[in-house]
Parts: sequence; structure tokens; C-alpha cells
Amino acid sequence: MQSRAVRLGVLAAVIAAAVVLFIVLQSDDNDSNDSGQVTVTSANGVTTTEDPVQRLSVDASGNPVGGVKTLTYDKGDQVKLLVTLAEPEEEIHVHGYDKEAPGRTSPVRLSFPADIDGIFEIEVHRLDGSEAEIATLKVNP
Amino acid sequence: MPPGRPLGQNRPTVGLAALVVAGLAAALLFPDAASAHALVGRKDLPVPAWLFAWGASLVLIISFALLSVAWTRARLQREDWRPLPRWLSRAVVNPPVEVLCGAIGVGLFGVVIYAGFRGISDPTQNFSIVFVFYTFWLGLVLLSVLLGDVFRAFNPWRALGRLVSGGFRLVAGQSAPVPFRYPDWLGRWPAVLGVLLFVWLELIAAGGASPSPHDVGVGTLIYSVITFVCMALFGVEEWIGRGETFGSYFGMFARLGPFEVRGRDLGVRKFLTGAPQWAAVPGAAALVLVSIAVTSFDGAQEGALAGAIRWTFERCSDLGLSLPDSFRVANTIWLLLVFAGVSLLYWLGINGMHTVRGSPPVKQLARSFAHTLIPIALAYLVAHYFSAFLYQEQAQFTYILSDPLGHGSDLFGTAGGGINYGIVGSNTVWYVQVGALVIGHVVALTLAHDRALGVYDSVRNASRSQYFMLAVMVAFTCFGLFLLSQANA
Repeated sequence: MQSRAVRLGVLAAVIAAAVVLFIVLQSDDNDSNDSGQVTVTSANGVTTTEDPVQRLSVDASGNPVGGVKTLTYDKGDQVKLLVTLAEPEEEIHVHGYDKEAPGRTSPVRLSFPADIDGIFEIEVHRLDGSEAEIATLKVNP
Repeated sequence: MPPGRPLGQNRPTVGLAALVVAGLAAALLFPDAASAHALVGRKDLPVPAWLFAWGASLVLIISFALLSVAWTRARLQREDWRPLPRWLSRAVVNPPVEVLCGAIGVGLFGVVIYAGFRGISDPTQNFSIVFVFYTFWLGLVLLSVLLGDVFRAFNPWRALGRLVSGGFRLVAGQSAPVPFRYPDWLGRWPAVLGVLLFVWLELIAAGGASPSPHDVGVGTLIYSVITFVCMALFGVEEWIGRGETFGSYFGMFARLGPFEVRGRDLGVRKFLTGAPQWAAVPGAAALVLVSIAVTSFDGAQEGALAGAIRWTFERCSDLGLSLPDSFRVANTIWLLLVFAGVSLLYWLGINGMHTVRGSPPVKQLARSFAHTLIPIALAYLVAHYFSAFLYQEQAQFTYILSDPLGHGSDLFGTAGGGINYGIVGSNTVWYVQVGALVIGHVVALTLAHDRALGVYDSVRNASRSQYFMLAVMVAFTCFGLFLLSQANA
């Protein structure tokens, strides 16, 4: 019983070590994101790294052109958004940060430091009171 | 399936039929909500791969370490409850305190209904939503573990039921007659259905939007009618103690903690000895499994299962259902599938255990080990709702407290407050999540090993049976970690 448990323990430790090693070796390419750049993942999964000012556009029916994009920042980066609206809207609202900018005139500019990590919705609040997500803000710690 | 006879084979009782009918009625009553709105402004980042790997490895190492140092005589099977000093019991458990707690419970119950019907429709600004889904549903789990079954004292339906039966005694000079005996086979099954319907109201009823305060008001009223009818049929304390959803649900978690009131005495018990007795009732396994399932579903719907739900949703809308109805059907199907999957995992473990020599019948075995999953259910709750609970309680005790209806009042001068989403960083959230799952796993294994020593006649057979439970626990914990690593991804 005792030797069997020891054997099993050794087996578990070996498996665990293998898993950790595998993950450590895998995740090397994860931290190559230069500060000040934003990684954009579009709705169809294409990832591009672009200049700091992030452009979004909203069509006449109040929906995001090209689907809901994910904007990924590192904590401490400056988030700079330029939102082009086809029609006047109530406002652009960033959840969690509670940043909002009026949408009567286009384009709408928003700039704030990414000082809370997590996942947040960026929404357009339409004039009729409805709202839609236009982008997802993802801030890594 | 967990123990207890399948529902269909039994004579349907009034209470159960009423619950089902009310659930269907509720489904028809809920209006379509206008648009999606996130209740919580910040969602957790998925647990990173390296932490997932560490968590999973830790689980394996701890599991085998526990097996190798395991004790050979059952230590937790007898509940060692002993009363605290008399003065302390009298100070905590006495009629004025009972009346006060009941009155607070009824008062909050009234505010929920009033805010539901008369308050602002924005769920983030309305007392009924924040209170029911966070302070009540999650906060009372925490309080139950720490302080014992406090909900029993505050239970508004119990307080009103006792008030009415007290009034009846006063007028009629005798206790109200109880027409039916609570059937033993019904056990905790009404609570299983109740938990499913509650979570359905929270996550699915609004058809893709946040639950509206109006829905919560209607749901509370329907549930109250059912509870009052069942209390009249089976007796107040009988229904509250055995059939009532929230009492059964919070009472389950209270079994993990040290404190319990018996009669008029407050007492403490040895760590973890409260849980084993809890499971000896039909439907107990189903209640703990449904708790794990609903949390899993909530965690998976925006992560691991998002694609599958989306696919089902599109098939439903292809069939001509409206978008909210497609959402309801797709999510209901997946909620039930998750429940079935979680139950299947437990059933497989039990059947594996049954192959060991000297095993009791499968049904008895399933019931005997049901309580060992309570720590896992608690760990899942902590892992999935820890951050959201911290945020929503800031709302509860600032602007929701001072302005419960969202009409601009400022009762306590805290209406200007808001939620600071920076209160915990992602690193803290991750460590709490993984830590909760690992600790829950260890406690679950401890309970299971000890139970096996009580069930099997030899240490050897008990140890053998625990290879199967170990596999079940590792699967649950790694599944929990997996859900976290896929959350909101």
C-alpha cells in the first residue's frame, strides 16, 4: 500500500512536471507585445498590431462596421479611440471605466489610461435608448 | 441519475405540480426585453495557461499525497455537536431576536417586490436585481458557511407562515390542521427544481438581456404563492425545512460550517462533521449536482460553451423562432445538458465504486457520497462569482442602499457612490479562483475518503473505491479550471 502510493505520487509528479514544462515552453511568444501598441482581433479572428489611435466605425443602423473587435492593451497603456458615426447617436460608453463621450457629432474621440485590467464592453447608446456593443476592451495585467 | 426515484414514476403531488405549472406560467408572463446590457461592467480575464497548468498539477500532486498519508479509521462520520455556554445561546437565540430577524427578512422581501414593480427598469440601478442575485443568492452562501443556517432566521416565508399559524391558534384555539404529510421520497427534489428555475430566471428568462426588475418581482410573487400553498399543505416548519428551495440550498452550505442551532441551543461541531448526515435524503445528490451545474453553465456560456450555444441558437432561429425565444430554447437545452453531464460524471464514479467488493447498492452509494461534492459546489461559486460579488456589493452598499428604486432619492447619503472596478486586480482574482478550486478539491477528497472508511468493511476496499472518487474529483476540479481558462475568451 505504502510503496504503491509512493509510486503513484512519483508518477503524478512526473506528469505534473511534464505539463508545466510543456506550458512554459509553449508560452514564450506571449509577451512580445511592445508597450504603446494595440493588438486588434477582428470578428473573423485576424490579429493585427496597429498604431495607438484605434479607429472604429458605426453604421447608420447603429451597429459596428466589421463586427465587434477586441482591442487588447497592457495595463498602463493609453487607450485612444476615434469612433466614426454614420448617424448621430446618444453617446459612446466604455463600461467599467465609465468613460463616455457624446455622439451628436462624428467622429467621437475618447482617450484614457488603461488602469484597470479585465474585459470591458465599449457600447454605442443610440438615440432611441437602445444600445449595442461596438468593441471589446481587453486590458492585460 | 442521482438517487431518488425518477420523477415520472411517482404520483405527482400538488406541490411539485404547482411548481411546474408556475414555472411554465412564468415563462409565458416574462416580456421580451429590449436589448442586452451587461449587469457587471468588468468581466474577468481568463486564467492564463501557466496558472491553469500549475493549478491542475497541484491538484494531482495533492490528491496522491493525500492518498499516501490517508487515515485508516473514519473520523468524521459522527457529528460531534456540543452546545455553547447557555448565556451565549440565550443571547443569540431568543424570541425578540427571532421576531427581529423575521421582520428584517419580511421587510427586505417587501422592498424586493416593490422595487421590482415600481423601481427603475435599468437592472444595474434597481435594488431587486442587485439584492436578489448577489447579496441574497451569493452572500447568504458565504454567511451560511461562516455562521450556520442564518437564512432560516431571516426567511420571510417562514416568518409570515408562523405569523399566520400563530394568528390561527389565537383565533381558533388550536393549531391549523396539516392536510398532508411531506412524502419522504420527495426529499430535496423541489429544491432541485427551484434552483433550476431561479437560475433560469437569472440567466435565460429575459431572452438575452439582463433580467428585468419586473421579472424578479413577478418571479418572487409566484414563488411566494407556491411556498404559502405548500406551507398550508405540509405545515410551515415541515415545508421550510425540507421542500423550500432557498432554505435547502443555503442549508446545504451551512453543513460545511461549524455552527448550528438545535432547539433553542446554539452549538458548534467538529470541522466537517456536519456534512455526512446531510446526504441521507432523496434528491440530495441532485441538489448538490444542480448547484455545480448551474455555476458551470454560467461560467461556460460566455466561454467554453459560447460556440455551441451560438450554434443551437442559430438552428432555433432557422426554425422560425424569434431571437429571444431562440436564446431561451438554446440556453435551456445547454443548461439541462450541463446538468446531465455533471450528473453523468458522478454516476460513472459511483458505478466505478460499485465494482469494489463489499459495495452497497448503486442508489445507496450515490446518496452516501453526495455531501462530498458540497465543497466543490462552493469552490465553483467562489471561483466564478468572487469578483462580480465584490463589485456588486459596492453597489449594494452605496447607491442601491440610498436609492433602491433608482428614482433619485438619497436615504443614507451614499447615492453618489459607485463601483471601483480596480478594487482587485486580475492576478488576485486568478489566485483566489484557482485557490478556491484546489481547497475545495482537498476538502471533497477528505470527506469522500472518510465516508468510504465508514461504508466499506476493510481499509483496502475503501481505498480501492476512492480511486474512482478521486477520478471524479480531479475531473470536476480540472473542469472548473478549464472553464476559468476559457472564461470570456
